Amino acid sequence: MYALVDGNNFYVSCERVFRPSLQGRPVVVLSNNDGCAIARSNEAKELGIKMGAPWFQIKHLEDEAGLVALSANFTLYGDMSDRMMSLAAGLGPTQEVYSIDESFIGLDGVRGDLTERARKIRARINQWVGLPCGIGIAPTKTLSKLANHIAKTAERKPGSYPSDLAQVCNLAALPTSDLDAVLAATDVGEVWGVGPRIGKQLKAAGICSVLDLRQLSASTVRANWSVVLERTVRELQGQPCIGLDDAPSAKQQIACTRSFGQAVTDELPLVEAVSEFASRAAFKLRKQSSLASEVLVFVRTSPFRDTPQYNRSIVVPWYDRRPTPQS
Amino acid sequence: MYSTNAFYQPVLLSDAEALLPLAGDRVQAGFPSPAEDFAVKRIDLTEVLVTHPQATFLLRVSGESMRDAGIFDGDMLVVDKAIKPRHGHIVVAVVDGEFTVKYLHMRAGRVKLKPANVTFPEILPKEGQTLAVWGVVTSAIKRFVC
Repeated sequence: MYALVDGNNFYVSCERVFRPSLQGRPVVVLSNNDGCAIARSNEAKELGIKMGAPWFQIKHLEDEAGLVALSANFTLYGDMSDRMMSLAAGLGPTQEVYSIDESFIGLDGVRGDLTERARKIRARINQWVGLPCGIGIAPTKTLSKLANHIAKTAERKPGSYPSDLAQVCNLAALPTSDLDAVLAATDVGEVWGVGPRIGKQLKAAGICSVLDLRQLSASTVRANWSVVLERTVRELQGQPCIGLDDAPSAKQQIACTRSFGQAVTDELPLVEAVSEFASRAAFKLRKQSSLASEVLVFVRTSPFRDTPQYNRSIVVPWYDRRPTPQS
Repeated sequence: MYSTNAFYQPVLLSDAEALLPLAGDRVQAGFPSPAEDFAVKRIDLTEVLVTHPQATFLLRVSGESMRDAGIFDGDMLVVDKAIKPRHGHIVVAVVDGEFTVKYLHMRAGRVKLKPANVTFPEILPKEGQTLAVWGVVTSAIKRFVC
C-alpha cells in the first residue's frame, strides 16, 4: 500500500502561513525576476490565470480583481517542505520525496485504520506547519496519485466526488462499485503517465475515463502502445509495478538559467552572468560527484517582447593541450 | 589546434580524511587526562529551546505592547505551533489578518488577548469572530551585543 502526500497550492500556501491576510484572496507567486506565475491560489485559478502565465499578461488583475503577486522565496519553500516531509514520514516505514511538495510513503506493515492515520497526519501538518495538503491511499503508486487528485478535487469542487473522499481519499477502502464509479467519473488524462499525446490517442480509441483504461487487458496495451503504458494499466488494476526510490538517481543534465530583470545591451553583465551560472552548475555537479562530458552555453532574447529574436547556443570547445603522441 | 571531442581528466584530490587529533587520542608518555571518562555532550542551544522542530519558528518583535512581560521591541521569539494554547500562555495570534503577541486569556468560556503594557488595549473577538492562535511563545531571545 502507498500514500501520496501533496501540499495544496504549495508556494502560495507557504506564503499564507506568514501572511494570513492572503487567505481567500487571489494570489500568484512569480518566478525569478518576476517573469511568470509559477503558483496560483484557487481564487487565482478561478480568475482564469494559467500556470506559467507571463506577469505582464495578468498584471491588470491587480486593480481589476485584487490579485496579489509575490516574488518567489525558494529558501522559505525549501524549509517548509523539509518540515512537511519530516511529518509525512510518520505515515509509514519508507518514504520517497518526489518533489518539493509531494512525497510517497510506503505503508507496508502499518496496522490499523489507514484513513484515520492519514487524517491525523494531515491535521498535524496543518497545525504544526500551517500547510494544507491532500493524501491519497491505494495499493499502487499510480492509484495513490489518482487518489490524491480525487482528495483535492473533492475538496475544491464540492459535488465532483463523494464528500467523504475530500482531503484524504483511500481507494482501497472503497467497495468495488464505489471505486468503479469514481474511476468512471475521472478523465483518463489525470492518470500519472498519461500525457496530452497519449491521452488524445486513448480518447480517439474510445478510452475516455480511468475506468475504461483499467478495463483494457495489459497485453493489448503493450501491443498497441508501450510497455510503459502497460505498467500504468497494471498499476491501475492494483498490481504494484513501480517501487519507492530511496535515493534519487544522479542528474544526467544540470542547468542554471535565469532571465534578466531588464534588457541587457553590454557584454560585461553577460560575462558575469555566464560565469556565475557556470559556477553554480559546477557546484551541483560536484555535489553528486559527477563529471561533465559537455558544457553548453545559450543566450536568447525574450520571446515575449515584440522585437527581432536571437537564440543561439554553443557547446564549449575545450583545448586539448596534452602532447600529441609522436608516430 | 583544438579538439571538440577530447576533454580534461580532472585530477583527483586525495581521498584521505583530514582528521584533527583529539588530545586524548595521542599516545602519551605522560598521564592520561582525568577528564576522559567524564566527557559529555556540550550544551546545544537548539536542543534547549526547540521541542518540536517541524513546528518551531523564529519571529521578531515589533512594538511595546508586551514590555511588562519582558518582551521588548527587536527581541526574537521562539514560537511553537504544536503546543496546545492554554490560559496564561503568551501567544502569537492573528487579528484582522495581522500577527500580534499577547497573553491568552481563556476563562469561563471567554477568550481574549491581553497586552503586558497598561497603555495598550485588550483585544476581544468581535461578534461571530474567533481568535486565531498561530503559535505559543516558548522563549524570548534578547541580544545585548550584536
